[in-house]
Amino acid sequence: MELLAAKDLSLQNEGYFAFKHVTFSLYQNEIAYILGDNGSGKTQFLDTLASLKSPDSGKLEIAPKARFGYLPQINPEVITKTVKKYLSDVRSLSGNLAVRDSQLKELITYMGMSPYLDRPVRQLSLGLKQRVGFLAAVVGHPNILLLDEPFSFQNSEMITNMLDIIKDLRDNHSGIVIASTVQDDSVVNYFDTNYLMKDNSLIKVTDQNQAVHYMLIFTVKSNTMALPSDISHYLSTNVDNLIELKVPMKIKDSIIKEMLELNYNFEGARVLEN
Amino acid sequence: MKIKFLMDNFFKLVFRDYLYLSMLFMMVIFKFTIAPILGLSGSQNVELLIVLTFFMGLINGLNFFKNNQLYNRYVKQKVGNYWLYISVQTVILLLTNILTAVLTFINTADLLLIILFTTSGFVGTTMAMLLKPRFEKHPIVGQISMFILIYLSLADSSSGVLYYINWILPPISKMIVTLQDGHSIQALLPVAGQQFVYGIILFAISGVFYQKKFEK
Repeated sequence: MELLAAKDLSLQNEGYFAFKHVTFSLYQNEIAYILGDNGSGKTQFLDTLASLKSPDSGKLEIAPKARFGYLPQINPEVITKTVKKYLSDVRSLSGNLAVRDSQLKELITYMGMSPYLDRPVRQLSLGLKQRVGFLAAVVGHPNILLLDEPFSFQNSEMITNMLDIIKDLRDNHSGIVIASTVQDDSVVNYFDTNYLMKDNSLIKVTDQNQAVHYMLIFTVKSNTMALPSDISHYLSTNVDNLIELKVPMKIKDSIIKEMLELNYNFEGARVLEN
Repeated sequence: MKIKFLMDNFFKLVFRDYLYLSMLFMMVIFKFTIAPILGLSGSQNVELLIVLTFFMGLINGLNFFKNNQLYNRYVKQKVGNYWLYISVQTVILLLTNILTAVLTFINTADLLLIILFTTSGFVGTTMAMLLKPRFEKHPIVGQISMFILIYLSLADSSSGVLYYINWILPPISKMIVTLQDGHSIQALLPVAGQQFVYGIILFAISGVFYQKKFEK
């Protein structure tokens, strides 16, 4: 069953397109993943799907009586309630359709929030606030779950736990949209549909490995060895002590490993909009 | 549960940056200290306080909606009910106007004056509600509109061009003119009723007009 359908959707902000002519569908039992660089329009698109922004053109169809859960990238709300009270209140907003009290306790434990139950949300660190926001988004047992950068500030264990909860929702007939700037190879298998947001457009990716490229950034040390020919093939920038390699996603990890063996300092990676 | 959730949130929003409390304290201190020094008559004192209450309702409303835009961006999505959301907002702002009026007349506990001052503040609050998106997206248009609305609220509409359209003007000056005509405070009660209905109409207009921004 189709939960969301965006047809030829466009949104402008003061003369600049946040996104244009976007077509997107979300079905029950589906996790859609939207990958895109900073400023590519992911957040604006999710805000529009959540009806927090009105598109300038196009049509957005939402299944009748669909309930949304939304984890925004940054929630400006100042929450003075304790974690326990806040999550309990948010759960109550969905009435009988929300998860049961016992399930809420399990979710809190699973997300490692038990030690913080009596702490006011506003006093928590960014990572913990992100977990509270994630729990607030899922406790209503939404039909449509929108997650904007849900894995930021989280360790790999928490990311796996989040994905387990997301997968569980998917298996219980929800549709989930995840927007992120980075893609960890270890989580790719969780997603049913992959999209790439670039040039303000949304492109459905059929072969994820071929479509996505990364820019790997390294710096040179005193004992660094010369680049072998198989790697220099991907060289994009070589200025002073900075080396940038543009590589397909599928060989990203092996290239990093090889470069570390050649004594290069790995400074970071960013997704390219092809 | 949604109502309780929203009331809790909006009450905190009113008191978040202490602007309302500061204005409230100034109002009460003015009433009990400066007003007697100025040597105003009883009716002049009431007239002045009506205008101050109107401004206080307006400024408090503008500040509330600015904070709502800043902090509650995703709260409305959680609640998912537009009319409930703005209705609770209106009730909370009405309650703050009642609080202002009660504290201003705490020494007399005059119910009639409390009603008059509550509705005067309520007109200011609903004017802020009508203009809130103008300030968010088109601040210059918002300020010009505010200038015009304040002018129309305070200008004498008992004669001249405004006389012919005084039924659509915010009934603030009408209350003052009625008092200056020598009527008793009791005679202001129908004007207070008119102010309340006017506020409800502004609420309904802004509610219908800005609904598209909340849900498609």
